[in-house]
Amino acid sequence: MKYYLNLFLIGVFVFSSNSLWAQEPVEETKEALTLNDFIPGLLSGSSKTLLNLANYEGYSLSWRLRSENANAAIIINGINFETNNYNWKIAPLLYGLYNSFNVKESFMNHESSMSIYNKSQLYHYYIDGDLIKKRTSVAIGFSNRNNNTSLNIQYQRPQIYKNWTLSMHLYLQSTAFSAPPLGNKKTFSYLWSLDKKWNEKNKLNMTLWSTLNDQTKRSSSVAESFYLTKSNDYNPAWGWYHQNILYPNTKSSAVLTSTIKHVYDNGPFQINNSIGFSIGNQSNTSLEWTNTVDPRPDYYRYLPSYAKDSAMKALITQKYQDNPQFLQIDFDKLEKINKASATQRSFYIINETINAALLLRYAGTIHYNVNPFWKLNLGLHIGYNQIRQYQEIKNLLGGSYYLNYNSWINDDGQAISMQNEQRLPDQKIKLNQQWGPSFFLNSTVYSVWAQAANIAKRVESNVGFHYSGNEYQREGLNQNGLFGTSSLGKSSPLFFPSWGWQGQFLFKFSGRLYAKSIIFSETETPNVNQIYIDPSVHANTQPFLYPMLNNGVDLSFYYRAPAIKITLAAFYNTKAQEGVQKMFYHDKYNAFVYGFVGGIIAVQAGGEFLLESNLWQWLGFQFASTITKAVYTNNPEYRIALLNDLSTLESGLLFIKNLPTTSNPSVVNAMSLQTNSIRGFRLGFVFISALQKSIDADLFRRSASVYDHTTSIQWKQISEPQFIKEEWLVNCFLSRLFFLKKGASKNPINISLSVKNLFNKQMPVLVYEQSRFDYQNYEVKKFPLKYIYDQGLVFSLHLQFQLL
Amino acid sequence: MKNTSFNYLLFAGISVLFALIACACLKQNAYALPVNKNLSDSLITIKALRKLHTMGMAETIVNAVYIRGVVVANDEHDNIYKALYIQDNTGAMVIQMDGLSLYQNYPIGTEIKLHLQNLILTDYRRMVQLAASVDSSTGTLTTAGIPSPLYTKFIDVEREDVPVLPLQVNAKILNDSLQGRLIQLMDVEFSALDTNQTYADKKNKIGASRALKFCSGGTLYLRTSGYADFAGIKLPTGNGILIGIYSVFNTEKQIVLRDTNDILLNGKRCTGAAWLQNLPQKGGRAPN
Repeated sequence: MKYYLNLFLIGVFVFSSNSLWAQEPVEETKEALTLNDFIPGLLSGSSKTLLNLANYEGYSLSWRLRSENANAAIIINGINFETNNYNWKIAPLLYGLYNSFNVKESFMNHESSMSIYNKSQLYHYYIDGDLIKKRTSVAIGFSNRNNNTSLNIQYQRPQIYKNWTLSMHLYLQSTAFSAPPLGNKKTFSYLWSLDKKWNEKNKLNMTLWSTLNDQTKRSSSVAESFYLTKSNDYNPAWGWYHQNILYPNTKSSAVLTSTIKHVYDNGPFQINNSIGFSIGNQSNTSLEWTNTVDPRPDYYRYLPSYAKDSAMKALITQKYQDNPQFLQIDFDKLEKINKASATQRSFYIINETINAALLLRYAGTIHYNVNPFWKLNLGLHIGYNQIRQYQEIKNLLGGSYYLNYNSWINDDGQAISMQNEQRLPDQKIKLNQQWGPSFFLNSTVYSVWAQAANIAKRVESNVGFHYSGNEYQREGLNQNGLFGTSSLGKSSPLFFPSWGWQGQFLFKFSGRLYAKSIIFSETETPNVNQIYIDPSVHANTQPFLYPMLNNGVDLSFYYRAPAIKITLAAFYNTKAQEGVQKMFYHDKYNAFVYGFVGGIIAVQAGGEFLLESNLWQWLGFQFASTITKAVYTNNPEYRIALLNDLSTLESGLLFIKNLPTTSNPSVVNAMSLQTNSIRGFRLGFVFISALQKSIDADLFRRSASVYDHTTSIQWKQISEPQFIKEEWLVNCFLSRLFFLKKGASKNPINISLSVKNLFNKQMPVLVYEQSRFDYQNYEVKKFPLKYIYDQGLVFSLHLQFQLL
Repeated sequence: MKNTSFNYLLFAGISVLFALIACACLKQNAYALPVNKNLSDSLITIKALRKLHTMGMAETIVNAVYIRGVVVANDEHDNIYKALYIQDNTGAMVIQMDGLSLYQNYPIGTEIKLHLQNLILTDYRRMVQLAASVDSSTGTLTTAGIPSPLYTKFIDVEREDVPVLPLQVNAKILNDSLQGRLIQLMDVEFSALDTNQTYADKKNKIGASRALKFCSGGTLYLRTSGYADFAGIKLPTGNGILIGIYSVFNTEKQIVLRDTNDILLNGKRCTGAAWLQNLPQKGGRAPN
């Protein structure tokens, strides 16, 4: 019902709003439309306005355009640094340095989005010396989000010496205190870029940047914990240690990246060559334990709901409400246990998992303007990724050593099974020593693409084709006890080809009204985590390893006038043969198992509407509405295998047809009002509402096996999709621009105050079904949903002044 | 103009300072709070506590009383599950605890004070025990141990490393007053039929009872869980000393090992003559 209501609202706005249509219509020229009537940038797809509204303003509501933003690709100075390995994240490469780059967002534009991993949405980050202006700016920021302060210094000088252009950027961010629940965050990033223009045809860019980041991580918890602590800020992942707060869960990155790009522009020919490398570490720390009591304060057995007796339940509830410190980790108690063991063996440690990467890249493109009506584009991308994962002990918590055992296996009574290194059984690991699995996941990728574009009077079109080859290989450095033959050494290389084509058509009704359509069909390479079942233990591959097939079509209408812009789009995509795998504890078998799903088919369809206008000369107005339906369309096959030996425990069908594939809201409406600059002041409000936000569902509980063993009421409770109630929030900002006169020059100073979630709405940003499920009694409440809540009102104060 | 610009800068600086101060004031106090304890309970002996129980029933302890005892057995080697055995000089008691790795907080030799109010005195197959809750809705009595979040509410650790000597007994004086006590058996050996067996079935996680024979006559069963870390070890074939916790399963008398350090059966097995003679034995008498 709400879907139709939104469609009606869209119709009302488009067809009946007098204030919007009261603009003076511009007469269409009587001359034949020429190429100059083509407004550049249309082929770039989605409007940045809609993207900013979704990504920046609607982030807390999980508003992602077409649910695809999570899969958006990033190209930096012509190079794609993605690795198809989820252990290596790309976002840390640019922490704090986004402002150094120009950004071109391409949505399904295959001219430049021949992403090696077939992503439909792409961000180009690039530095172009021609666009650099003389500038020195300093910005100081402060946010009440854990008293976060930042310093941003940018220095840009074009033509500093014989056509050399320099750009430098320094970014520092730190939290003043380590107060829970967020803990601390420290970032230090710098960038250095040189451009050289030899002549009108040749220019070179060299960019080097580094990001160092260290921050604590927040953990989700069940609703009962939030109720007991009476706080939506509750974070179970911290505790007291020697009277100080300790956060065991952190993430860090230290990455150095460099690109060198040469552009040869001969008028009709433009040849770009880029080489680059990225080297560094990304790591996570966490509390680990073996053969001992679970230290998590919100473990289900410790909560009042686990007690069967009402008197005990009441006593436990009273205890937590009177003593909330018991809902945090007691590290002193863990240290006492470690020290009390006869040999000072640690049962609890803080472990660091490190991914060390070396990425090498080459990307080349040729753009050839055959004539004013035809363009040819060719591209080649070659990449090599070497990523090694290993572990180190960061804190023994009072003990002297930790035994090199794998605690994530099922105890079969065999001493060898738990050994991480069977060549050194019962190895004692000391502080800062390596232990556990150690392996390389290496990959080589190459991709070629070609595109032909035609620009005619009324129609513009392009057709593109790409082919990619990805080769993966695992190399294990330790020989574990469970998989002695396949854990050590190099595995057989695995090769995955992929190909696809895309077509885009743009029809110009008039100088203002355009229609665009995109159609595509392609296969997609599985990522490393979909290929190998558990690369930390062995090199075996997923049983359901099929090439993924993506097809889609998009139709958009654009109206562009000086006083009003309207975009209306509809899209339909299908994704077939996707595979999923997960490791979890299965209560029916009382064992750790792998779950595999193969042959998933999903569809994503919907529409977008964006209107931008001025209500009055001084008041800008934007309205956006998106409707997305992303669901599974079949009941795929699944298999459950025992972790220790991969023997099949059960198989069958998963009943997930019509289950939402994503937790992004299905319907989002956003309205933005911004004043234009009045005596340097600007004020803006954004109101966003989100409907039908699904929780992240666990697929494996929706199996035929569970269906056969449950009543119809139980099955309905288990299988039906759940949605969060409607949420909304209001963001606002206030800024003032003024100028500091210094002699003949005027230096701009901008002060801005932005407030997110002005009304401090407490809403969950993440809700998911746990992978642990009561497979014995099928009681949904035994392992309930887990949440992370938005932090409520967050304000940021920025002061930026430009010295030159 | 200059003054105006300076004023703006000053205003911005004051705003930042104010925001910092405001946030510091609004920061939630996260310091630990002291835990209140009930200090007025009365001490009773374990023997007196056991007298309160009628077999087959469940009695909730309503008075504010406590017992004091030393931990004589725990789950360190996984032969005991979710339970602690404590004893004083009058008797012993099994305490059901709903948690794992209890040995880390309550190692053997720890003297504890157990507050009994709201706990339930019950039995399982005639083995008296303390539980936190009972459920008879299914027709059979199922019990649940003290929930782990409430350990510190019911249990105070008073001393550690308190030595406990096992009570030396023979087959004739084994009775219910010894339930849960640490006992020592002399001149015992495994039945000839069991000497090729392991303590239990470790592979399939199935427990086993192995017959222990006294040279002077009499049989007792060594009960071992399939989860015990020594379950897969072969039984010793000799004769000698065995220390363990006395237990019952209906009418069957049992002993439960803490670990294999408590078993020393490497002497010569009973000869037929001594065994058949059934001579009276020297040994301790069970206390009243």
